[in-house]
Amino acid sequence: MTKTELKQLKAATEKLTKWESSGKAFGHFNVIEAKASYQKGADKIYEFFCLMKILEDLMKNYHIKLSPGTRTGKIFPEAPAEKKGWPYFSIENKMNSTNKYQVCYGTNIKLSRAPKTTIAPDISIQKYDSTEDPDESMVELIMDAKFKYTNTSALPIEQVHAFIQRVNALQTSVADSLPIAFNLLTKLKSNCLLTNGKALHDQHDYCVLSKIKQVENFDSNSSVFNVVG
Amino acid sequence: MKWIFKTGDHFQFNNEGQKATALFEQRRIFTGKAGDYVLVLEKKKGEWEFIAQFQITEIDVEAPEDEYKQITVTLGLIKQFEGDKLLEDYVYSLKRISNYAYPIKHFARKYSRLHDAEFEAIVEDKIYVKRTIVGTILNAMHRDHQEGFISYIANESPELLTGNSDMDKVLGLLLIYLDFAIIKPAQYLIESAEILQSIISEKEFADVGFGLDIEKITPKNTQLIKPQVSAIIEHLSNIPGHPNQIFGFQVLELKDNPKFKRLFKNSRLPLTLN
Repeated sequence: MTKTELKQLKAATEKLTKWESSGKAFGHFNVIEAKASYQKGADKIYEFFCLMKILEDLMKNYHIKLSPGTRTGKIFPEAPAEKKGWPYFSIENKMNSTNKYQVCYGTNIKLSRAPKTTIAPDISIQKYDSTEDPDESMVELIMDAKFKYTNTSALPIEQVHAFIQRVNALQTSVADSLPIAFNLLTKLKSNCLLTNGKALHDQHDYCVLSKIKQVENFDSNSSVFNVVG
Repeated sequence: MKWIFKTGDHFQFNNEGQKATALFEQRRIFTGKAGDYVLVLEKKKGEWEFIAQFQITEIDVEAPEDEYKQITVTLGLIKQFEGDKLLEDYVYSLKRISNYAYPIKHFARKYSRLHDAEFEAIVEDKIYVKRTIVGTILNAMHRDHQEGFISYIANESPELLTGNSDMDKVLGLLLIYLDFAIIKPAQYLIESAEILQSIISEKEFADVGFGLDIEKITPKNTQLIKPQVSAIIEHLSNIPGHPNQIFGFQVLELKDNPKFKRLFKNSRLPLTLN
């Protein structure tokens, strides 16, 4: 390695381990996974990527519009947040204008019978007229994304349990019968636990029973994903 | 033996730089001998740099019995170095250095001894490449990533944190860390940006980012996607990737002077927290 290459390496590391705009660390630096899920401010780039992949597929059948947040404009929440003030996407079917939804990112959804408890799925598809402070009756389908450091590591059973618990609490178990028109990702019309790692294949029946799907190898560069459940 | 001499009031060049003398006033004896090589370290334009190689021609000790001895070391020029030999470029090949933010601190004395491998690193530019790559990356990282990497190796290979920093192992783990912590997120962000740009206008895209606190949505407090994607496109190819990828593979296959492995056998990770 030449001195010039080492200088480039130094500059690249300085540039890419932080966000250009704010100087905050960029990437997945919370190595202890339990900490990563709860620590505020850890990057959620994989979660956002999953949202984009879903929108990319819906784009074929829907007009998609970014509805800016009244407080934050086009800045999305980095950690679970109230829906009020933050942006979301509105989608409207190109053939049928009554087939329309909100696609929300990281917003808190309260439970009507336990309003102090909120659940914030990474991605939630909500009714087109869902309010700024939604409860489970406004929510149609939820997805969570789990980034794995190695693409061979599997979802822990605890994450599957926890996701099922969320689906039950938000009562979205009929998500797969919604008239949402996916294009190529038709198998994802369900409550999905998306991961770049592996699914628990032996939990297939449990997933079917609980109306969720594990989606493994959901990754960049048009890799081929696989659905369990 | 081999030495580094710092320049200063005690050091004088003579005969248009063909010769030099260094004067040490100290209690200790100077263990150097005629014939030893000396590299001269001088501060130029704010940076410490090795400027020349000399050889000791004569050592003269006045009043050797006194508590404070006056030692005059006479040097003859072997060669002036061509091109820059900044101290900064050799810090990961010099055993005495552990503060990488302020390496000159380890050269507080007027002279210091050099091991053979260290000497060859400077004179022949045969640096300890693997340790230099590891150190360059670790010290350039954002503080949160420095801590993230320490957590990662504490989990994977804790012995590396106890003063047994096998560079082959550290470099292998660092490549894996870079892959999941930086490279994958960078790829996700690039692909996300491409999709976003097909949904919204270029003007809207410039404002999209992430923020934590609804009360503090200011440009300095938000992580904007567009400038990050520009930085990724400019710099990502200079980050060595997963060990299985070509760049990562090449880095792991680099051959270092075997003397370095022995010299740095019990040394710590080359890292100063930012």
